[in-house]
Amino acid sequence: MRSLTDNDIDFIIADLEKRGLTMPVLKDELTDHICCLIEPDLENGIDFVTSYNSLVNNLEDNIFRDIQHNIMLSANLKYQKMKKTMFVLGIIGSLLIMTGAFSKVNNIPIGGLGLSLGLLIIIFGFLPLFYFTAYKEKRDKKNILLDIAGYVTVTLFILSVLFSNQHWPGAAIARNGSLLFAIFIFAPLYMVTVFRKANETKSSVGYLMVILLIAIGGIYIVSATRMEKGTKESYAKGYREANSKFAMVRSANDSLYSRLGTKDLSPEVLAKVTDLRKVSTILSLKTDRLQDAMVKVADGDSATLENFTSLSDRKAFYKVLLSDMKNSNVSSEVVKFKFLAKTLCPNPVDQGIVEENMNANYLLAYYLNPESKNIPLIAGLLYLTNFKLHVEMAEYHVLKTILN
Amino acid sequence: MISNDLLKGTLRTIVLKLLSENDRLYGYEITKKVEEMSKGKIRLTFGALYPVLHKLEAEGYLRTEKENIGKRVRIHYSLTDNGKNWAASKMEEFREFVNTMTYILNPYPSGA
Repeated sequence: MRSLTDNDIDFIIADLEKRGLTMPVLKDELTDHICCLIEPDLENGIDFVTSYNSLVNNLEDNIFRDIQHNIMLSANLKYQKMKKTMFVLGIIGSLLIMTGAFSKVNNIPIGGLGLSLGLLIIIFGFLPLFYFTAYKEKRDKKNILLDIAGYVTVTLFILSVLFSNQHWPGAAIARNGSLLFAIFIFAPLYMVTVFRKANETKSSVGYLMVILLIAIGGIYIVSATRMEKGTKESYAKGYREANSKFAMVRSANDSLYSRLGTKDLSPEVLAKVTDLRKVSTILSLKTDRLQDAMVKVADGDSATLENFTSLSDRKAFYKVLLSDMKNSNVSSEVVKFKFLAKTLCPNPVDQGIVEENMNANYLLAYYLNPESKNIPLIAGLLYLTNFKLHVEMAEYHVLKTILN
Repeated sequence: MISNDLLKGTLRTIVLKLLSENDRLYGYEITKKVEEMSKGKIRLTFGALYPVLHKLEAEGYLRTEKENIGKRVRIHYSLTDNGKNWAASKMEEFREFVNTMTYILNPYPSGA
């Protein structure tokens, strides 16, 4: 009778390793189990190779790797704890995001903090654990690069949401980075993986859906946060034209003022005209200051009205107007200007023209209108330049009326 | 032969029962004993047995001892104190389940 030799045992161990078995304890016990199954055959005169081949050929493909995989998933308590932590972090993160978003929509002050905290938990807690466990649970050939690319894409995307929510610089870089990563790294890696496993169409469909959703999401983000190039250019053109019109009317008003001395006006009228000029100058300076604050909010402290670049920023206009409303800086000057202009123009037709140019609700309407939250910076700047232009035009009409 | 589907929920109880009657057993020994006791109706596969043994060990119900047999290493399993108590309650629960199933399958035995 022949018994198992050390060479036979080495052969079994080597074959188990070749079949993907790496867990030392499991390797020991499966080797022993296989030896126990073969020994009766050897006693019956069957040779080792025939007995081993007949045993192994009757087993399912990948059986040893599957056993190891199942043990790793069900018996590894550390891994189980990791999965539980992942679920808890996922739930806490998403609850914080939801409450944060709700609070933000309803202007509750802690909304931004909750939203940011939730996004950070998802990026640095939930997602790494999710990708790690997903990677561990894959039975087939693993592609770690694909998982890393997926993690980086999703992380950059969430960071872009976080940065844009907090008005931190770099939101656009993160957003574009996530899109570029998805298109040029994740998608090609995924395609390669799919083509290698052409028979596994089930998971491919799921992943393709994800890619499509990312692409659609990317297009949506870009289109929602950026103005069309043509629209942006037409606003920029309008802004330049309004500024030059303003300069023209302002200089026309300057020359009208110089002509006031040639007229025989009462000291009372002269004092009112001087006051009117003072208020229109204050309004013009305050508007300039608002515009300057807006470009600084959008582009940082070094930005000026001459060099700003974030034409389509949708936060700066509302943010600056809101803080100005709290300080009620412009609206009180508007009321004062209107009062002086109407006193100087007793004729109702002239008053109507002043009123038309100096609609006191002009600016206030924007303060109170929630839609102004999303007004792009260049449109907001154009609006404010038009506002100071109309002040100058109202003043022009008053001066003309007095001089005639 | 009893199907794997039926065996799935009972494998832990089978292992615990065998270990409660033996000081220690190794994997192959467990499969042999089950096969003999069931008169060949239950055949435990590698895939079914080892994940259950490892899970029970990770949960603290089983302990292992290594024995070197030449170049081979044999892993023996035995019940811990905690495992003994748990095995008793699991077997009691299983007996109750079998009684209930027997009643459901044959609610009106002949002669009753």
